[in-house]
Amino acid sequence: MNEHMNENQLLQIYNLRIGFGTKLNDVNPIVHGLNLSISRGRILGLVGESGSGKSLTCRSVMRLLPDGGHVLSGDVIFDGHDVLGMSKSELLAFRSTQVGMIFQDPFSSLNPTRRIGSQMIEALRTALSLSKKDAQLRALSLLEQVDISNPSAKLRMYPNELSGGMRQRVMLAIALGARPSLLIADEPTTALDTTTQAQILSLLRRVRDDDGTSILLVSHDFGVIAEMCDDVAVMYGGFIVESGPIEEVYLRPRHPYTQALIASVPTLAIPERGYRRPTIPGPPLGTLPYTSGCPFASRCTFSRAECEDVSMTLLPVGPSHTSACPFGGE
Amino acid sequence: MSDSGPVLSVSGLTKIYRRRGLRLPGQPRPADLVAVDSVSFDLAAGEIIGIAGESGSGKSTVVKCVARLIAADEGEVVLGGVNLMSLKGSELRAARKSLQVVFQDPYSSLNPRLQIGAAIREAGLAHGIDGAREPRFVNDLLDRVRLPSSYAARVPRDLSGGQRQRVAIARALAPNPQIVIADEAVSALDVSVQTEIVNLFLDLRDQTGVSIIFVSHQLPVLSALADRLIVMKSGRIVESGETKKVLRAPEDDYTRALLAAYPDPHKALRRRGLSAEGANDE
Repeated sequence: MNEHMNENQLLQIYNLRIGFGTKLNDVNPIVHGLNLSISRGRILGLVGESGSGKSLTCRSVMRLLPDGGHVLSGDVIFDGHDVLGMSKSELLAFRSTQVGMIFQDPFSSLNPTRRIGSQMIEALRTALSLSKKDAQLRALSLLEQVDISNPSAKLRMYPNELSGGMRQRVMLAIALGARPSLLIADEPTTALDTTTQAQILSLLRRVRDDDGTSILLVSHDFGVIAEMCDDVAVMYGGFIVESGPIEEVYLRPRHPYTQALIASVPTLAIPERGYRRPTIPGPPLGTLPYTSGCPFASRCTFSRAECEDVSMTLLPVGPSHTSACPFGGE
Repeated sequence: MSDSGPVLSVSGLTKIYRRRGLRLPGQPRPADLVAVDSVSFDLAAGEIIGIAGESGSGKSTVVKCVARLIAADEGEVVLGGVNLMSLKGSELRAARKSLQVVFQDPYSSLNPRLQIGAAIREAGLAHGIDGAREPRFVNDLLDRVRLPSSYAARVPRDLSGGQRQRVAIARALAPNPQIVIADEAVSALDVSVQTEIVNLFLDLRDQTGVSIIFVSHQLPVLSALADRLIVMKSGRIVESGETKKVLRAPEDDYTRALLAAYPDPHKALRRRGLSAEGANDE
């Protein structure tokens, strides 16, 4: 962690390996030696297909891996603190005051049997040790902050009385309760309509601009990433295969997977009859254990014998732009 | 089926959800919800129509009424000279042979214990297709959705989301329908897989001349797929026409709002001053 140690870095992940298994000696590694960092006030996008390890990476920051998931090695350093070494009480304080998290499905993250107000107040009291009255006031101002009109009426409602976009705003309000310095947003707009998505994205941007909150934004949609992020990391098969400033990675992708992914993104362009948008050949990575070399090699247009031995180290290819492909997608 | 007339003709389709329950004194009667309001359109042979709109616009209700999965309150759906709305029992079953549906969630639409081959065969047998018991029947359908025949022996658990959706499409194709309705059939999939399934639908149309009604809230998915677009809002069609025309010269404010909300990577980067490139803008 030598040259990376930087005052400006809020979150640093070093050589993180995550695996799944019921027994510790029989674990199937899913995330392989991942390095990632987020500076204060920046928005980092994490892109990749289902099963690439993006959500696991996010969850490991909160130490919220699902059952059977283990961090096998590596470090997660948040604001100088070692997250993986925290005691239970430190962890609780860290989760409730330093980091906020929102997920894809705002309906399943809220308790359907309790009013919005009681859920928000409980979360705020736990996190900030507020009195009931102060927590209520804070809940009202948070709902205003996420552009919910008539907040006192909304506090009395049940989750099913709110639309999907409204529920995601409530989740965001709860996540922002303690003014966290990092917000983790895991596919926050995937389940929403396009117009609602635009509103939630503009809210997230405002959170960063007004409060300097760093955001780790997971999405499979390059439109959302280009709209929001300063930097982007592309994941495939449990590795970061490319990372850099969004304009570098999107306009000049160097890893063949990134190139194929960007080419397959549906756009509003209307192709000629008979034209087919390019797709990524071959089946998506299944659950086969990783052995060695580049995990994308079997689907890559440019693959060659040497791909079997590629170390998947990120190599510099431009200003702050790195790619794990030593052959540069040619 | 003549080449001139439409394969399917929908006219005045209306679905109303009536509010029932207790009416409290002094309270107004809760208003009925008009989910679909006099929707009419024709579908030509080999045509792909895209129905776009947001949650609650009624787009799914339209196709569910067309497929008679729910009962419409008013309107006609004419398929091959027969009004589907008046059919019952065996007549309806026979009509459904020509009109098949693929749903959003490939995880819940397949029986988790049934092998893929059996699931496809079952779809053929249910419609009394001759030869459905022959191994060739399953192999041909797997081939049409570009899955290797070895997949017949697998169970859904072994398949990715995109592969499961291919199986769902193979089942829909089993009775050799004239029309396939796809209700948000790619929404749950990764973007690159979405493009694969869109290409598959295009190939199926080009090869067999099947007509397709494709419901999606994602205009970028429809732009490459649909010959014509219908945009719905609050149960009504607010705009319809050739895809090119609707996307490039929308006449309705709502269509314009939908188009503006779609995050285009190039436009976003340009607006943020991160890209000087003006190309690739549609």
